[in-house]
Amino acid sequence: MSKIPNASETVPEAKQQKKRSRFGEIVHSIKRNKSAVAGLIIIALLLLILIGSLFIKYEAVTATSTANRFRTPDLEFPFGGDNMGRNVFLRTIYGSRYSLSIGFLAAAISTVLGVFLGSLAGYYGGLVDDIIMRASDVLASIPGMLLGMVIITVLGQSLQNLIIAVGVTGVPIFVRITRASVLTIKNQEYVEASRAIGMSHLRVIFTQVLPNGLSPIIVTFTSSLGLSIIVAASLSFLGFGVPVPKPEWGTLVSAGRNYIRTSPNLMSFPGLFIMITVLAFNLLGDGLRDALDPKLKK
Amino acid sequence: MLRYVLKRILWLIPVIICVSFIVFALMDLAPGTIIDAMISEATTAEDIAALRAKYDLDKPLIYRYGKYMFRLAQGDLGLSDVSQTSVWDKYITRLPNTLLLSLAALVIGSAISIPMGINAARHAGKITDTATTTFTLIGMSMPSFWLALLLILLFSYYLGWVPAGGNKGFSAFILPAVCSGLLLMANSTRQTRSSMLEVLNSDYLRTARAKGVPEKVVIRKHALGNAWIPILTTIGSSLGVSLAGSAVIESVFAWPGVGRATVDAVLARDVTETCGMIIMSTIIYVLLQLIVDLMYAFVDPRIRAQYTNRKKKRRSAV
Amino acid sequence: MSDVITRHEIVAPPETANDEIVLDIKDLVVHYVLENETVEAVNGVSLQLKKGQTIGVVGETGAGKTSMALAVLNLVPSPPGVIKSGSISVCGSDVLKMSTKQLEKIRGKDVSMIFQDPMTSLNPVMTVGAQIAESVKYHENVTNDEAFKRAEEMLELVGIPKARAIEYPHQFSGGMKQRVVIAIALACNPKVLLADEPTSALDVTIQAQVLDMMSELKEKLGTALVMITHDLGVVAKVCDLVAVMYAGRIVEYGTLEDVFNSPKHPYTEGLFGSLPNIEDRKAELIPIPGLMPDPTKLPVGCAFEPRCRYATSVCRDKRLNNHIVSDTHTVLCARYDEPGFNIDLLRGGENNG
Repeated sequence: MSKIPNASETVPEAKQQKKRSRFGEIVHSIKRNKSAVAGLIIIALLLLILIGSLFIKYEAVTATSTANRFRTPDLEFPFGGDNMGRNVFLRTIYGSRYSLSIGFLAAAISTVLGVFLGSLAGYYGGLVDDIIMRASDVLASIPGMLLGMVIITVLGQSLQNLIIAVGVTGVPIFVRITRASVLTIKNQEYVEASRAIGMSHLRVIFTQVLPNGLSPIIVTFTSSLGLSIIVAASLSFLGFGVPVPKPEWGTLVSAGRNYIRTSPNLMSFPGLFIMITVLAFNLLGDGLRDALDPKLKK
Repeated sequence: MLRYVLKRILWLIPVIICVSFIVFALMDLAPGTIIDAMISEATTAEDIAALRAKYDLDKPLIYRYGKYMFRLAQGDLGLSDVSQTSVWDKYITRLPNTLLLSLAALVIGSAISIPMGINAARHAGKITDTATTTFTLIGMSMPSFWLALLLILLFSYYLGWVPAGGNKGFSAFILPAVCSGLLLMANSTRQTRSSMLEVLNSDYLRTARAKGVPEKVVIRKHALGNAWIPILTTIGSSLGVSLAGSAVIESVFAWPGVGRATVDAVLARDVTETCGMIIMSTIIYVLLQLIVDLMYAFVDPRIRAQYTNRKKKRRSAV
Repeated sequence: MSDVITRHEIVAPPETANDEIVLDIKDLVVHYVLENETVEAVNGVSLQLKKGQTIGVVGETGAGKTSMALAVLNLVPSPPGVIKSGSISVCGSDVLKMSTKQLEKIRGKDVSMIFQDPMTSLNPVMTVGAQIAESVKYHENVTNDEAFKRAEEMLELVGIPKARAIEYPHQFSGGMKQRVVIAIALACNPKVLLADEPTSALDVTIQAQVLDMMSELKEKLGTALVMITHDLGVVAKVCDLVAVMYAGRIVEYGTLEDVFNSPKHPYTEGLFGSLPNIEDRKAELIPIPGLMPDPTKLPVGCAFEPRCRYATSVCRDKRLNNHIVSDTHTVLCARYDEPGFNIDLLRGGENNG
């Protein structure tokens, strides 16, 4: 019986590679990605603004004042006064709570519903798949804004309903990408192996399939955040959003629209905030996509 | 191939049924009815009853829906609850305006986005690329109505070059077209860039170079020849997106398109008109997607193979 | 005391008519410069090939074989890749000094390459006939029709019915795709053909077919072939010369008989030792312990030292020189500085192959 030379006898001290968990690797990738970092910084600032807004009283934001009508921007009214003399700066800061919460909650609704349905469709296939995909296609066929308008009309104008409306319109894309992801993974061997040792279907979905199919979902979630904010703002702009005295950013722009010639500041600043917020989420989304996509790794 | 097209078109029918039901039911359930705007303090109880009877408000939802579907099956979109004008007429007269806008946006957007995207991909990682990516990211983050208002501010009020909107002549068309084009451009550039990037890293380019094919030809024929396929579909689908988002742009620029008309219909609680318009928009949206898919099949031999007769596919012996 | 001479001074054994050297690589060094580190892919490789000869370049993945081949076409991907030094002469002209235009002239015509993965090497939206014809069009003054006719001939040559020239790559199986790739490479009758693991993606029976075909073509067309592979069986089947590569260097070089019958380098010994012996099925396989070294941190001396059972303390730091074993056979090992040193073969003199 010939002896296999013991590997450790001949190989010198193996160079200790810093081992990182998968999560650690992703975090590291993100840290190196400038746009993702920029996005995170802006989001952090926005969160600060949000926290700051909690200290502003609703009354302060809605109180009208004839003296301050169309007040030009200065130290006390950095964004000026609107047609009812309200402080636009305070209104904008206060309004951050709407846009940020709508963005996040609506995207969350789309994600949870979409991923759930998409996983079922992808995993079970057959009739379940057909029904879910058909329903999703019908939902996707209706132009998003129009559907949102109709839903709001039915449910009435309020923050919750806006969240529901925007959330619902965002479901189809998650169904589609989750299903695609699940279909790819389902056929991988480690799933077969899990089933072979007797894991239940549901357990396989949640412990094997989803964690590995997560990256496109995460990336879509971040872009969905930005998109939700824009759709919500657009609906508010058209008059379907949060009811009027509440200073949602889209509503603010809509209000400022009529005075665009004389006081362009009224619509410019709130709109700028929308853009910056969405930009932050898109930057983060891009950074995540680069970090999570193994193909792009050098 | 034909079977596939037919199948997709036939699929429209259940879609229409579902969409119409959803919209109809939702609008119907909404608080307030069409007659609210017609009733005032002075209206007598009999008049109110007559109005209710006229709009079948005294009957259940199913009845109204049934009546609507019955007419729809005959191709009749009905009359607007408010103005009693034909929904079909209103839609059809305004559709060209929206299509015109979307097409213009497509042309403007693509003319810039495709070269820009290709350029960014070829210089990936360098300054050109970073600049392009930043630019498109900002473009994607802008709400359409804000961009529209900014453009109006700049070009209409400060510079006075073009009117702020309306539908009087070509000059009124410029700003909304440019606005839509810019928005479309952001997404198209990104997609072009990533398609091009993927192609630029592919092995068959290396094979082409190893054959001694001149670099210019490698890029033009081999790289672009493959990259333009996903680009084409992005363009096609962004046409659909701009169609959907037309509501906002048309509202800001007071452009007489179908988007704006739908918004007005919803606001007025005009169930028939809303339903009709949304159904029509949905049909167009679906047809557009079908055209895009067919285009894809037309230009990509791999996809084409999936749709052509299975009998023709030879079993390639190893 | 063994003589220390560099590779290119060795005179090839007296041969028949075709003594023309078609490929001459001298001290090629290729590095990939990344953000934080540099991958030393090829570290001083030299080899010569005459018309009609076949050399097998053997080594594990990561040994630098592909980089070397790409360098011959001057197709090393240029942002990270840098050809630091060395010269490569194809039919007498130094490829590394050529302009792009000149390179485009010889690529596909004087020297061609068959890449490793047939699945992605073909343009999905061009017919296979067009892809073969393209090569012909750029190198020969023929009409489109004539080029396509030649493409059809090439297809027949590799065993694909010419009616299929108008089909697209996705309509072919892996084995047939690889044959198309070979057809493209041979379309203009190149003097030098570089084949980078041409059969690795194929199953064994197809492998045999493709190799047979390549041998035939080689005979018929007189092409000099560089066969890059990790499979010693393939080498035994088609090659006249063998170069064993490790960590970017050629550690042993010789004729097929030299290397297979009397291997000199410990790595080569290890490679043969890890082959199953059909005559002695009960014998244990002896793998080479350890792993390939990190190409970003190669030692000055021998890179195989950590895994070598003959290694001494000087091996790691001593600069290596080629040692002559015979007119045709050299080995890169510091221990051969010692007089009388020789590896003891684990499996005796005759190896299968």
